[in-house]
Amino acid sequence: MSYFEALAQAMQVLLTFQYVFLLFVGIFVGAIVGFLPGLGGVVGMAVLLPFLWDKNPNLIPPILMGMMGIMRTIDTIPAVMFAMPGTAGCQATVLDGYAMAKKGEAGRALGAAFFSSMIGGLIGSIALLLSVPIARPLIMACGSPEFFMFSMLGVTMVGVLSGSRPLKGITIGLLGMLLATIGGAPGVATLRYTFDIPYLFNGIPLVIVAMGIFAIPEMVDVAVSGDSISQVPRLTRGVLHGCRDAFRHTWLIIRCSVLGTYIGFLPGLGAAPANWIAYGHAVQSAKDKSKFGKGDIRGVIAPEAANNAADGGAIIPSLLLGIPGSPTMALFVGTLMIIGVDPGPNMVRLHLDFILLIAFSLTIANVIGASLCAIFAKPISRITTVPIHLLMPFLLMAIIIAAYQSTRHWGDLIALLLLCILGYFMKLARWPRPPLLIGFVLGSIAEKYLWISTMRYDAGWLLHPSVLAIGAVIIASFLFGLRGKKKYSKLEKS
Amino acid sequence: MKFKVQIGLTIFLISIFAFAGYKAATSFSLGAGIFPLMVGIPGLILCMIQLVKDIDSRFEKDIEEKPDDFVDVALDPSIPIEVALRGAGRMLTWIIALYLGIWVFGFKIAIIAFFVLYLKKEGKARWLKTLILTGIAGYTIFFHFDRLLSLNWPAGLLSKWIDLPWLFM
Repeated sequence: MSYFEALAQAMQVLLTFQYVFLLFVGIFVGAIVGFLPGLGGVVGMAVLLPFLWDKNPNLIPPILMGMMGIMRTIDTIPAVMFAMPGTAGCQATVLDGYAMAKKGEAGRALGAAFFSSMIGGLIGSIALLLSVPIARPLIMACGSPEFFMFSMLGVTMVGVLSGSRPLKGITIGLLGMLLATIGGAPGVATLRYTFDIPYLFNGIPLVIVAMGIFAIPEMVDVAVSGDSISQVPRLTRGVLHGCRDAFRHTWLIIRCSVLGTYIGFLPGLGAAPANWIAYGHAVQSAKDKSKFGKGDIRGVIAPEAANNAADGGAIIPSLLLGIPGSPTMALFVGTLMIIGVDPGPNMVRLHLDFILLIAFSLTIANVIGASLCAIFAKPISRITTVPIHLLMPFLLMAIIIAAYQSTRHWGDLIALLLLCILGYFMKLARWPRPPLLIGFVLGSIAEKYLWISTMRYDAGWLLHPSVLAIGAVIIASFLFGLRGKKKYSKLEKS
Repeated sequence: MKFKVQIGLTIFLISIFAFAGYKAATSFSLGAGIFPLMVGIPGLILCMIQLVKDIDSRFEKDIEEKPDDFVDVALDPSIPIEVALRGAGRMLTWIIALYLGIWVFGFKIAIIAFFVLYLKKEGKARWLKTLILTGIAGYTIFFHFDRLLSLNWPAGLLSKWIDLPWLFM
């Protein structure tokens, strides 16, 4: 099938009523699972799967891409408004998004986030379209040593985010990595730090750590003051202002989207590392770093562009090589196999129209999703002015429901409570919390790939040219950050 | 007080890293223990340096005066730490009470009761507002989460003792 024939076939499907209807069904389900913290793509896929089994294969992309397209956009709302990351891919957005909500700028933060999400999603979709001829050699060029080095690149962000307290930052990053070792060891039949508690056999879910460390301590902090989330009575700077801010930082959006696409494209990494690495990049490349964490718009734009782009990137290996990089993608690949479309190298030859349809559906869903979110952002942002004691029961309800969906075990709730106490004391004692999440997200990835690399190559992997190249990038980014910091302190002194 | 919180947290972290390192060195095979050791030993050393910094009075002034320039949502500076701790303790009591309610009555009954009690006691809301907000929560739980999304809920002891109506199952 030629490219233009495939394009014509895909366009034919795009213009049917059924396509549009199913796209909106996907968007509706995606909006619910994305808005509720802790549910995410797996739950969305699980809800939709029973309706897809006997459908025409061409009607699968709108419903699944509709869901994925809006999910990464709408998950920003709880992250910005209540410091509750809706999915694992928007943890970094909490830092500046929530700080902006406290300053009465929730609308601005949401506007910027939606605009960046849309551009990120578009770049991810374009990458999916362009990757058809080059995806295979690119993925094959990366093995476990390269994946390990990428995770190390993410770990260096701990230094970037720790400011003048690198000792505390690194210690907390190590604590996050240690938490990630709870459960089964990779490649060895050993359970670590489980104390014979079955709940711990699979480790602590990421959503529990993120909500325990951030969401509840922030809620408690606002509850102590007895005020509303927004510390100013009237909201300032709305959605349009945020969109304009994002437009002003187009170059940052493009950089972070490309970064996000590439990280999403690597199996096993995905949106969670992508948003932290993009955030770190935004901090590192900024001349004035002092406002990050206190409501800097760039801290919202960068991770939001990256996490949406990562979805487009994640579809590439799933579709073209049959390698799902995440549980959501595994369900996606499974669904395609059930309906008779076998993902893998033959996709380009046999189902090029299907690949194009997926890319177009993701693009359309991103644009519609971001527009819908932007329309509702203004009324939603008003919630930040509601007194906290009226909101608190709703927030606690959402947190408990989200936490319990992780493994449906009481252990989820107990772990949440313990981590919330740790998070609050860290806040009181002025220990930075983001490094804990970075360590937790990247710790298990780093350990797994370190183990595979050592088993396969002994120490020889350290001399792989691509490993050395990524190592050089890590050192360069470290030195670049150091130079930027010195320059900034000089400016501050003068 | 802040000083005590800082020291307490550092000691807690030291004990975590020390325990993790000890377990990794004595109870796990090399394959399983090498990564926790690689993380635990530097973590322990860094925590001890931090403890020395915390204790040493020369650094105490430095800690108090140096503003936070790391990336995190800072604590509201206008609230004294004693007040913050008391408020946090109060909130923690509410959360634990909700957990106990869930354990005994199950999630659905406990959360509805929590809404009424919290809104009346902490929110100082009038009965009408309390009932409307609780109604919204109930509608969301019973019809959206339960019927539409078929989410799972922690079951309480009560459901083991008696047959609850389907709405509360």
